[in-house]
Amino acid sequence: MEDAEIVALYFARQEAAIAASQQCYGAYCYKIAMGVLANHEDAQETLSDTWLHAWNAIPPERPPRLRPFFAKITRNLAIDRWRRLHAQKRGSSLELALEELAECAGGPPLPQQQLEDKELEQSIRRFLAACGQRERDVFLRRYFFFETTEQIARRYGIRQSNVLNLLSRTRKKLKAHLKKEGYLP
Amino acid sequence: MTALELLSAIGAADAADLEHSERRAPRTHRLRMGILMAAAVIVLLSTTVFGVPAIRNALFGLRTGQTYVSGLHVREGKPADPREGAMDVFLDVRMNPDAPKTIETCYVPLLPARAWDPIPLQVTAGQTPSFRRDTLLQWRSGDGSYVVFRQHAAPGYTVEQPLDSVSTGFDAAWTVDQLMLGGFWVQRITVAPSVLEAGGSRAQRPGLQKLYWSDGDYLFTMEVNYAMSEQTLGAILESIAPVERIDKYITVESVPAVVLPLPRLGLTRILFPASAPEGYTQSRGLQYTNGEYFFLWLQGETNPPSTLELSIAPQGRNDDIREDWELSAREYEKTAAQAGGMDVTCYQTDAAAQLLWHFDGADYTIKSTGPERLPVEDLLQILEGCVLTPDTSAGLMP
Repeated sequence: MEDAEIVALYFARQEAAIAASQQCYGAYCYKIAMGVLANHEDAQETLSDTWLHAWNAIPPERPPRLRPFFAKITRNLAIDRWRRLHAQKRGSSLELALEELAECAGGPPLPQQQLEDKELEQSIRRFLAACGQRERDVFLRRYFFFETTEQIARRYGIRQSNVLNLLSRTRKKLKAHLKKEGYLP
Repeated sequence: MTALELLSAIGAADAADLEHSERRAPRTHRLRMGILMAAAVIVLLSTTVFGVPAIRNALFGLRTGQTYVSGLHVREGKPADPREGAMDVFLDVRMNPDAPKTIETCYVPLLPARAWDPIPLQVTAGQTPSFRRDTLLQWRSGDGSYVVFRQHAAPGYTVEQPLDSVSTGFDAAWTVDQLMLGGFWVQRITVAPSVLEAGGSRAQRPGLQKLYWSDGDYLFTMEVNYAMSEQTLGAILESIAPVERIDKYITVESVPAVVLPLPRLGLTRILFPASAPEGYTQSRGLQYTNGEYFFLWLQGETNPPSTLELSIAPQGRNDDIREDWELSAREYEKTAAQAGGMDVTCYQTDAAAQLLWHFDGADYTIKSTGPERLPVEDLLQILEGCVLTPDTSAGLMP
């Protein structure tokens, strides 16, 4: 089923929209959720939350492409769930990603207002826009989709050491970018 | 800012970028054949419509004048036969705009570095090679294979500026293709073995393969022998790894410094254009330690700009230029003219026009190159308009 048809179902408030979403993007979103949560039940619940979230968001939203739309929802919900369960669950890709990103972070949490204004998100978008295509792809596979370096290497047909090198360099650049923009001391 | 806040913010990445990252490296033979076919078409087109810069740049999404840190422009020349001019091959090797300007991490292909014999780098006694912006490493094996490996920091070349020359010689077949080696999309120029005939002698040219690729931060080039298999090439690229001390992989051979005594030029007056040609602005005015002069004017409306050069050198210094031109005189126009009361030899190809003459015990040349270069007739007019100035520092620029 085409994206436009699924969106039309959402607009028509037909529950078939959720079944169609599940059929077309269920496996894809499940993989994203598993990357974060590393637990089948939690990933399944996140998936259900994703369709509910989409049901509430469409309309008024009319996403032109559902794949990245669902990916973002799933990822955010999975991270929220991970936050709640963090004390109990260990060993997910998200945890590893956080450890890696810790070198680019530091200092106290951002003020609530700054988070609401989405300034950091804008800054990350600027950073990603300035990255080379390959750098950006690999960075997103790791820190958006939480793929392992081995999976990324397979995806792009490059060596795992190349992925590690690339990620390391990109994190260094990100740190410099965040320093320049005043997020890091 | 916590790592989790940072991770959450990454969730705001553009949908288009997310979708792009979904793509996988092509694996199928069919796709690869498609790429090879496309490369073949590019080669074909490079001799036709790509010869027109506007068309070529439009096809590659480049604009004249655009600073081009992310590209590679190879000039495939035939220096043995200047009449043929040079053919430009544009390869698209992307580099990051913020790639390091100097080499911060050195890479070495460990396979030849560990298993083959190093070919020493020749340096002047007492000096050590500097690898600040480029590295150069080379090896050979017992079966006649060789590797010349270079790593370049962000070159910042402009669209029309050649990064490299690949000499193909007469009638040598050459191809450009693209292949995945060691996890990189590598662009390759292959020059088949050929026979070079020049000046009545014949020489075998063995052919070669030249590879170009980038990891985004650095540009890499590698020249190898013609017969080296793709399997070996792949193994060499696979073995490339960052090293902490590149000097461990270099063998240096000191050679005594050779300083050729330059004839001195002590002029008390020089011929100099009364005014710059219309549209041209003087860019250089140099006098070397032996008294030679070099002046350069640019017409900056094109990229690269058209140039006009005037050089004044001790008599006999232009003999090699004359020899080069004479080699090509059978196809390109060579004329004799009179201008300013002097006998002038004029050469013109589709790439350059040049006048040579003697005056006051010195060799003079005027040469014009570039997309809007001046023809011989205009150069003769410039020569007619030259004035004899006793101020030998006229036109010098700091």
